[in-house]
Amino acid sequence: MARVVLAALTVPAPILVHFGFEIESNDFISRHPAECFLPSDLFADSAPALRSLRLMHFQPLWPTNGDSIYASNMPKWARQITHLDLGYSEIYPPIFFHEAFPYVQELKIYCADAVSAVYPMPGRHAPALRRVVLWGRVERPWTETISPVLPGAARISVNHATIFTVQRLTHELVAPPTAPVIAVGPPNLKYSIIEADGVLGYQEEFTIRISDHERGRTREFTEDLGLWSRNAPFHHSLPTMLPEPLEPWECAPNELLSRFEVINRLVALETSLYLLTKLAQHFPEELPVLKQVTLILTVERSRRDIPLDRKELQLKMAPITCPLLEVVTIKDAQTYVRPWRVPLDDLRLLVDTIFYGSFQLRASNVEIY
Amino acid sequence: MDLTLRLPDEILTHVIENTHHRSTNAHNGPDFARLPSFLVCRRWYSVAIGSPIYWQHIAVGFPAAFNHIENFLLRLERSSRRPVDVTFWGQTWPDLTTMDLDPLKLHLMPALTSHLGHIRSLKISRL
Repeated sequence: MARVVLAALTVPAPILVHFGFEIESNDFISRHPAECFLPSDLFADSAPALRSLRLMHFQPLWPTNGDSIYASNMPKWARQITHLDLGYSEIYPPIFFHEAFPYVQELKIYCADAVSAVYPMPGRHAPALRRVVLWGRVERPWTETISPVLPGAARISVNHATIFTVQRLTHELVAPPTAPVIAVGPPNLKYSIIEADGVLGYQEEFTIRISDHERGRTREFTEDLGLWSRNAPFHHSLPTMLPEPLEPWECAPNELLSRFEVINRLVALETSLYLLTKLAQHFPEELPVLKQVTLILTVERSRRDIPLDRKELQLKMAPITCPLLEVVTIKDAQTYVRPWRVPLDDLRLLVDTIFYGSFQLRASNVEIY
Repeated sequence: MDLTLRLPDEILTHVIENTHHRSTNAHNGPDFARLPSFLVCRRWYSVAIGSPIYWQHIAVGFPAAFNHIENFLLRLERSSRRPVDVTFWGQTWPDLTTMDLDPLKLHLMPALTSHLGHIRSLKISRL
């Protein structure tokens, strides 16, 4: 449908001041990657009054064969944009943003996964930028990497009198209360899984995060249980803030990484019980190096769906042997209401049903009696 | 006797525009088919469709009933070449496999192409 609409917009728009295009995400998913970009003949490259651009689920930049000269490939009207809203885009090109949109004064980013991609990079010029608004789950996948970016941006704000405003939506609206994480260990790569909670109905979608802590590099791949079941390659690449060139394991689609490798190198697991019961169907009987587990009770499930009934849980998953497991933490992410109260015996029974091993049981925002 | 007959068109326009503002939906713009000012009499109707409020902000939802598409096209036509703000909005999670795209292809998009020259703001949401 987006194609039909865009095909109608290939004539000059002489007085168009604002253009907003927000498509549904299912249309976005079904599109060929080439369709993630606006057509290069949009407005026949003639929209002299255009100042405000809002794109959701769209790439703001136009691709070229090489990563050089994005700017020369941009339509003329892009250079006039002063107000730019972007959101839900998964593959922002990491550089050249400000060469493509040199006169952006206000930049708003909604639910972006790679803020650094559109941030003024050190050494890049964004002389007109006055205000950047980050909105949504920006802190979710890149917590450790965003923080060093912000001071970098602040330096630019001093030089160019830029004002940065960071606004985050509350977790209940967009992001899961706490991002469940699975981390995988040595030698260098650390693997993580971040579950997109069921607040928006994506409860079977999660992200595998792979980190090389020694070299400070991180890369993420979007997954869902359907892909996992089919053992499809890691094909959805979330954006990276890393300097080019990418390491082979950072590229997507990535044939170098197998789910078997991910599973067998798990050292830490942080997820909801819901996702765990689903993933466990693909786990082996033993997770040989798993050391830490955090079970998150999410908003919807903390009262109703936590199966304290052992038989109910046994129907959903087989117990996993974890010889190195040290700590299991039960965490209620809903911090603004009274803590969930649960009898210790029930909780112990629940955890023992999931994991075989000798471990310590801890609670976070859960009242055990 | 209808005392509004004594009102000049300019005053009546203000009255009608005030009604439009109150009836404006944040997403869809004014729903003119339901505006009382359009149903009062012929004079009110003719003054109403001459009001800038009528043709400045034009919105249509999709999938749309035929009369909504007709209304959209009519207003776009009546705007002549005056600057307009156009909004397309789609229903949440449309079933693209079963949706009839013909109205979009045959009516709405050609109209958009021919009127793009005087569109000041174009918002396409959830489409």
